[in-house]
Amino acid sequence: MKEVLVRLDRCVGCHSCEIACAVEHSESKNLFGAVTEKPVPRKRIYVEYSPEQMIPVTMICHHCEDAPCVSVCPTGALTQDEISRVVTHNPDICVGCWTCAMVCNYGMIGKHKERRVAIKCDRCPDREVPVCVVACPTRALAFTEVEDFSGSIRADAALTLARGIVGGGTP
Amino acid sequence: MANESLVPTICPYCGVGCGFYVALEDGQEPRIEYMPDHPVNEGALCPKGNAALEVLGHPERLRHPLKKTEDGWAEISWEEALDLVSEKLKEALEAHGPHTIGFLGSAKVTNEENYIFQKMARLLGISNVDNCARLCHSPTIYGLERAFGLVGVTNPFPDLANSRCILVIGSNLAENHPIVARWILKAKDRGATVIVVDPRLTPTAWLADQHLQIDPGTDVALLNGMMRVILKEGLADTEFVTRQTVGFEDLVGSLEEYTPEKVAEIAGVSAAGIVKAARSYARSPASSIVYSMGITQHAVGTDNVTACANLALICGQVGRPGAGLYPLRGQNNVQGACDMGMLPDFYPGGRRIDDPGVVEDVEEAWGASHLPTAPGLTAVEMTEAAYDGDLRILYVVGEDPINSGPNTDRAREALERLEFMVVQDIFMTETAQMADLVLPAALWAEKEGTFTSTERRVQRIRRAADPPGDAREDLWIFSQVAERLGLGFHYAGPDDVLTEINRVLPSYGGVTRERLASPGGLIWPCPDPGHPGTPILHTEGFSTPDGRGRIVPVEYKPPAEVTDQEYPLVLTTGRVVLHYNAGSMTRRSPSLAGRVPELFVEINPHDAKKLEIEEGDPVAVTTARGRILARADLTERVGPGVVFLPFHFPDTNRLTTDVLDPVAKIPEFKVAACRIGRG
Amino acid sequence: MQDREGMILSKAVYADMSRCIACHACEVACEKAHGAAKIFVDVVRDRVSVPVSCCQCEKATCVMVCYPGALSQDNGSITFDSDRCTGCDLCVLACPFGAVQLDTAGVRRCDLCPDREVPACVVTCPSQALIWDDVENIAREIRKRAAVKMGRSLASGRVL
Repeated sequence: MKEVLVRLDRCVGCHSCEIACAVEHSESKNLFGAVTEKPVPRKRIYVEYSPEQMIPVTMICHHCEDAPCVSVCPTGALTQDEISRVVTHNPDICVGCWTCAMVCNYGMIGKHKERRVAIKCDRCPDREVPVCVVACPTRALAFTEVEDFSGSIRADAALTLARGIVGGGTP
Repeated sequence: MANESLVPTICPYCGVGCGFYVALEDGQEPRIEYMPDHPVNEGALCPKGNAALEVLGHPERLRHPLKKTEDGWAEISWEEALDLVSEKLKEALEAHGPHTIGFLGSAKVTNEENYIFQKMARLLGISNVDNCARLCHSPTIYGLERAFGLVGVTNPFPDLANSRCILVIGSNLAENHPIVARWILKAKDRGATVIVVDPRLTPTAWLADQHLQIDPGTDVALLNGMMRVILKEGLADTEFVTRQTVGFEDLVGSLEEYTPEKVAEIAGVSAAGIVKAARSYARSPASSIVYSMGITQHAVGTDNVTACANLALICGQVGRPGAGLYPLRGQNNVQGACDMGMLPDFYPGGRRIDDPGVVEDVEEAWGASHLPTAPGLTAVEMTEAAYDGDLRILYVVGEDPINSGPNTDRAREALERLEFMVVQDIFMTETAQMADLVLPAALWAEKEGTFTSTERRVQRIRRAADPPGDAREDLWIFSQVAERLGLGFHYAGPDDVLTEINRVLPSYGGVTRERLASPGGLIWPCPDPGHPGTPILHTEGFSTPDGRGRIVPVEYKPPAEVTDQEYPLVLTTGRVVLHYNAGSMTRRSPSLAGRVPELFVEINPHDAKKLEIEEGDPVAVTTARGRILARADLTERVGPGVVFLPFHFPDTNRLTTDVLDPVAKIPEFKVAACRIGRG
Repeated sequence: MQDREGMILSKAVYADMSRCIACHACEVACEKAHGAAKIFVDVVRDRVSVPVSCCQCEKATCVMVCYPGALSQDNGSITFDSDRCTGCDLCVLACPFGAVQLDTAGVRRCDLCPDREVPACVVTCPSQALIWDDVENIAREIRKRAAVKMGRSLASGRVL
């Protein structure tokens, strides 16, 4: 299955993914409409900053195998697709107890302030490729198989090694 | 709130020294208010702290002096009671000499009270003075005295947060000193590695990055094994070792046979685990060792402490922020009781009794002559002496040796042979039941004075309530007895005594009443009134005569009692979070006793299956000394072959062995061989 | 309390189970403050300890099932009117966490210690396992911590 994966070394902290996410989940689905909408459309992806290394870190829902948020949900509002592993949230039966937020190791459960229910990444069900990936200008976000992702890192590493042999220049 | 006043005080339970307020409001029961600006607990309290006021107005409190008669207990006046004590002491002194009298002080009463109690004893020529530190941390006293020249936690608790590696060995601090867990978690938040060495999977072990579940009593082997790894891999701090220590060469030779593989076999953990722990501790820029009774309560307790000190010394992990040794003391004033000289071989200020210069100093300070110059009997030895008829009179203050000492059936027999025993306490404990005279004392919230926490932090307690009935402050009782013995004590109150302590104890010189007003008090050594206190010890060399730490090689010796066919299981003892020591307070505290009401024994499900024991069954635990009943608690907190009993209930110590550490005379509470059968 | 957008924050007591040491201090503190504990610490399989109390659900099931209207909810906060309570126990049955109890005094559930600035259980918690905050702030804290950890993997690895 394809996943949204992050190349932290490519992220420049431009927040394009956050804006695209909020627009995608708005009524009007365009930036100019979205900014005036009430309730304000909410993002489900977060660009954080790590002061220790002074770098931006894009945080996404990993749609974990055996997702903890799904297993603790008392009402069944959170469910996980057996094949795609996508965790979806049904706001109609969510009671806002926030146990899902307590157990998520990545802090990916947000709050829909007007409806007072949880809000989280749905991996853009209407799109082939999630909008955050499409919007990322540096291709820090990738929608790909894990094997392919590792392959792309290997290719980069090979390039670095090759530079060593050639003697600093671009091969 | 209307007419509410907040009286700042210090928790009466463990040695962490948490602060809180007693809130007094007209017509209301006193209640606890939290103290967020206290430097150690930041307002937090463990369950015992929250329940501390439950013993205050307890209906079972002793209210009158009681004399044992043929028809049971008779209420008598203070006049009569005090006359009786002084008469008995006089008689014995004249007829049999001071060596037939024993004074058992308390780590629960204030510094001032302990100071006066031991002063009274020594002025009478009595050198048999001791306190319950004997049963919890006496190996720390002898081990650290030798290694560092000074006994005490080296760094304050908040400094634990600066450690990058914390080795917790033989301490279940999450249950016994929960506030310490707060600082360990803060260190973890900053990226520290936590290693927990414990035969049980305790809540402390939950916090660990690495848990070494060793077999009970194999600590020296493990520590020696770690040191060998450190030396072989060149991880020792050789610069520190040459500059600040002596004895390193002897250690190097002694460690050769402690290979990870051999230690793994002795201690029952993996060789890789030993190597990993050794590397984490030695490589980190600042490492701390936290230990407690799992280290001390062994026949090799002093060796255990010495091994911990050796590890710290060869790695240079002492005397800096984040690098220290934390012996966690059990009682709120055990450090203070020892500082005040409530020990058979030390005068106030940790000065040895057999040093003529010290005796001269003390004689001058007290205006006395002929003070004892040789160590007296320790607590457990006093019991032995009573058994043999050599000890005739015992004055017990705030202790319950029948429950807290080892092999209690024999101890009971010994105390029965005493000519006269007076017990001064707040409740009718099992020991008090055996006394000839019981004196009702005030508890901590009913008097003024100071406590010294395990951090060496001296803090003030203040009077928030009146003692019930005729109960009186211990200081008043001691002064009255002393007056009747013609010792001429003229102290107006605890402040007067503190002034004398400032004068007599060099390290308490600047610990004056006025300076103790703010939360957090002062950390000794604080020699003069302008001194800020010394939170971190040994920053400029050690307190030994030459300023160097002593590395003393120790060899692994198996526990005194090993399992055999008759007694195939290892019994270890310890505490649970909701109870405290012999339980005379917590078993009377409804919100604590209600949660753990009765004695239980932890058994591994694997062993229980073989013994056909089910959860909750009444079972019999038997050792060579006795047989008791307890409820079975099947749990993986203990490994196969090990069972655990908490010692807060009267029966547990009927099973423990009275084999003593040769130096510190502490009994081996932590290892005994036992068998389990259906009850 | 309101956030930047003027939305009302709903603070609750959250538990960080990785910090809980099963000391039961919260239970005893709650008992002292309210006469009976409304938070309960359960140890699961000798490995992890979980403090359970009212989650202050935004659309509370206890309120939904209360047909006489004794329990009501406005902007997240739940109130109880003992005069209307018929003692039917439906709220007890409806709570997914077992955090509602009914006794002679009425519904017993965490009221977040209205007389205190911070609830007693949170102040007393020795290991700082209980957190008193709005869920958004807590999620942000968790994200920050995770971001630092992820950043470390990068710093020690191939790029920086």
